[in-house]
Amino acid sequence: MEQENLTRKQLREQKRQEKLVARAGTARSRTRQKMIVILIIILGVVGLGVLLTIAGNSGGDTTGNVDTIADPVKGNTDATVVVKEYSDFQCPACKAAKPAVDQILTQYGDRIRFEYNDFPLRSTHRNAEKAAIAANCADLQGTFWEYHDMLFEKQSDWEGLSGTGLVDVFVGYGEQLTPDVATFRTCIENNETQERVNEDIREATRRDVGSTPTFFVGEERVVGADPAGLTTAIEKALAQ
Amino acid sequence: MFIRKAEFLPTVSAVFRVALGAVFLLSSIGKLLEPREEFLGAVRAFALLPQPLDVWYATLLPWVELLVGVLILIGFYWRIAAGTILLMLLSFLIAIEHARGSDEILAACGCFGVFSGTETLAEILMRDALFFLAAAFVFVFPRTKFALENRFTISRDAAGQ
Repeated sequence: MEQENLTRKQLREQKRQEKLVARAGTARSRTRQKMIVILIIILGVVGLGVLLTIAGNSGGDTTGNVDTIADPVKGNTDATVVVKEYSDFQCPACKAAKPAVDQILTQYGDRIRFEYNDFPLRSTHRNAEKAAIAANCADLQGTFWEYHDMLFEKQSDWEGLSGTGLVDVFVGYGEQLTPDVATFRTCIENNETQERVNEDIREATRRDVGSTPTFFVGEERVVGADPAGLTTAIEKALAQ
Repeated sequence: MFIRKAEFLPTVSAVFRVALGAVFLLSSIGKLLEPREEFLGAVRAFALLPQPLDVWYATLLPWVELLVGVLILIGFYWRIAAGTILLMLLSFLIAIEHARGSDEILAACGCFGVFSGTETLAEILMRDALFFLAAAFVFVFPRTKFALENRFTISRDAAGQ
């Protein structure tokens, strides 16, 4: 009887030991599976991330400050002193800066090269990017500056519009200025000048432009509609 | 489809997980697909982080978004992922609220990189607040359905029986 009890005890102990071994085996197997999943996730994330990064950076030059697409220019195109404006057609401060820019061009037009760059503030001004696209479409037809003036002049008319209404208004301005309205409409509707705008945005970002309008006289930065600051910077650049 | 009462909240958690995972994956892919300067410019426009912290933030954020997006979507270490998402959303909410309160004109939120639409700051704030609530639910509620992590948890319970 005692022997039988002992055997039962032994059997119970044996079963308990077997369970413990099985549990340890399951735990080991689970840990192994988990490690495999972690490894797959890490490899997948790194692989996907690297592929996306390569794809994202293969679109153009992101290393220098060199413009690869010509910007609209005013003044003396051969001048060595270059004034760059980073502007947004829907920004009231950029509209307010126009008289200062006109004054600078009247005063120094024969000695400076003035370049316009788009920097649409997309989060704040929902129509700024489309306006920049439209202005670049006008540039393709040689009427950028007239269109530029029109957009600023009529800023309050189009800033609240959206969708086809906005496109129709932008095309309407073109009817008065651009020679080929059908091409102009297609250009705006298909965002054909988007890359020109994107390139300007990338350039502005590289130069740490945080608000509009921002001007660069050579490498000297002038933020806001500041005629005195611009004049000083231009005089300094011309004296060099 | 009938869902038992006990499974309702874990199912809600799973729906939130999948939604957050999809959003963060899209957001990271959009950011990685554009030149790094674009998102760095967006970060700098908020004028909150000093250099070189802004460079680190702009470089690492898309990768962290990608990782937590995958983790929360498949439900693997999903509570850690939800906690990380909460921290990221908190930083976004602070940045957006700061931009709303300042006179600085913001260039772009850069939220979805190449997939970014035209949203106002108020719309972005509202959207991020909703994501924050969803992530908080996933983080706080201890169970979720359709998660890879459950495979390991269930097998441990089974082993202990």
